[in-house]
Amino acid sequence: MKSFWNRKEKPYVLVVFLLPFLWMFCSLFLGKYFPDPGKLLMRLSGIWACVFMAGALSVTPLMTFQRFKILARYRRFTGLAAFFYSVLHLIIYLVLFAGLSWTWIRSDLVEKPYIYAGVLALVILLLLAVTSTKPMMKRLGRNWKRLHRFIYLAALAIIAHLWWQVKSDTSLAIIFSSVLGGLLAYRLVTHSKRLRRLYSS
Amino acid sequence: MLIKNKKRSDCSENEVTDQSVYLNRRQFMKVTGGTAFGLGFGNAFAALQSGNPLSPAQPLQAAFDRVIETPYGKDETPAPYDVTLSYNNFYEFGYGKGDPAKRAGSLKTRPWTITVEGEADVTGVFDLDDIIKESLLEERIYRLRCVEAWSLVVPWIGIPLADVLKKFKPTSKAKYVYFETLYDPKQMPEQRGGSIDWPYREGLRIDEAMNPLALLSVGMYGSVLPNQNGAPVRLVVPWKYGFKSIKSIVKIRFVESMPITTWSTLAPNEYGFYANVNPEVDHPRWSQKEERRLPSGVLFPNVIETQMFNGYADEVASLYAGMDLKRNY
Ligand code: HEM
Repeated sequence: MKSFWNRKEKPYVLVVFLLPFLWMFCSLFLGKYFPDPGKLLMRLSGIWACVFMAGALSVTPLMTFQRFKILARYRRFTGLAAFFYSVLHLIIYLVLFAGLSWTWIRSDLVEKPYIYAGVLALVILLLLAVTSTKPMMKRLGRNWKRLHRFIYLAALAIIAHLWWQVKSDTSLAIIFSSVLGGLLAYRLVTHSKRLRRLYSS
Repeated sequence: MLIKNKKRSDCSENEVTDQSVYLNRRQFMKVTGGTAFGLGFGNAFAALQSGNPLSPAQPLQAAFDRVIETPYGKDETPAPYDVTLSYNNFYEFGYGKGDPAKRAGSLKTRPWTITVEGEADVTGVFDLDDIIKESLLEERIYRLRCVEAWSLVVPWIGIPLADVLKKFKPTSKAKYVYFETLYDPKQMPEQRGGSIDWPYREGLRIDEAMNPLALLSVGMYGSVLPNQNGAPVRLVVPWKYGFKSIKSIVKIRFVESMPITTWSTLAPNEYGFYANVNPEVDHPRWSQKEERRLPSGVLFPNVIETQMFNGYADEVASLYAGMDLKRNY
């Protein structure tokens, strides 16, 4: 068991994280999303972005259990995967969904506030991805932690984005609001406990 | 383009296969030759079928054998049959675009009756097959624009709605026509729950319903409607967003005041009673200026400008003269 969790496994983890992407890529070229890949892939890429987002947010709570400590190594990696799938989601929106039509994109992004929440989440993820390297961590010092707390705002923005999409099927919005919301609530509770402990001591 | 439906005795099994292979190849070549790399690529991988392999029940064979060709949509290229067959919004069978194709098999389309009620001299329960047998079926190639900003071209077969409605002799009090989809959770699994108050309901103003463009469709691509496309009988009002074209109709009621419709009840600020295709009036959450004309290619969709009344302004604009279409969306 120990040797499996050695750093040598990193390439395998990378492959596992890329599997959904490879799956979507191959299916696309096999015509599986025919006749409207844009529509179907918006949902799929968004779902995977949410899954990795939930994964990244689960690492810290799971670390309270000894046997999951090892996951800490992959917290940054999972966060980057969430960023990767969000960028994929954006590319699919621009190319496959809106056909790079400026009229379409402009009126969605500028006139329709409903996508703002998604954009906000993506901008935050971009900031966090850029500052996720070791040298950046060093340079930002204590501010790094503050900056990376914005992940919670990103999670809230994603929840808003999902509810804003709903046409009549609320299943995705319900699933990810409870998962992401639950993780947020957990952090709120542990955080306030820690604060209370600080004050009382 | 009239796709003649051959009698079963006309050709052997072999010939049928040959013909569909031929059609596939022809469709493939047409698409790769004419369009962008992405489109050709996509179609190369999906085995495209252009004809409808279903055959009408024996008593209806005669009606389907003498479908009248019309000038409607002569200049349009219909979507391959497989596209229209596999990409549907029919929430009674699930919310995913592919769900109806997978699940609509549970729908029993024969025998099928339509109940006619309300402000009309002739009311009662009518057998759909009788209505079809005493009508002349027409083929009309129409653009279908979904409110979700995609569209496709479908060769429908049907009866002008006005011809059918006039048989029931609506009275002067009949200002609107109300339509209802079948309600039977055994056949339509999604009706067991969800956020929609089933059955699905739709309606038209009487002059809209009497407009020559409005079609009561009983078939497509040369034969009967596949279940997922609204079998056995559906509305087609091509100048309105797709959700107005209600599927699997079991009730027609002539009424005096504007009827309640499913989407305008679910989200009144997003979907109005009229729901005319209008690039000037956006959905509150997304733009309606353009649409993806399906099939999309692998790498690039075919984005085109949305036209006023979906390009049918000449035929229907007069219905709305003097009306504020921004308020009556
Ligand atoms: C620039 C940023 C973004 C844009 C422009 C954007 C745009 C969109 C659009 C237009 C849709 C609706 C597609 C449709 O109508 O079928 C959508 C759906 C979705 N988005 Fe985003 N999005 C963005 C960021 C994100 C992020 C960061 C996430 C998650 C981490 C996300 C998750 C989803 C999910 C899961 C759906 C599917 C919702 C459903 O089908 O119910 N999006 N997005």
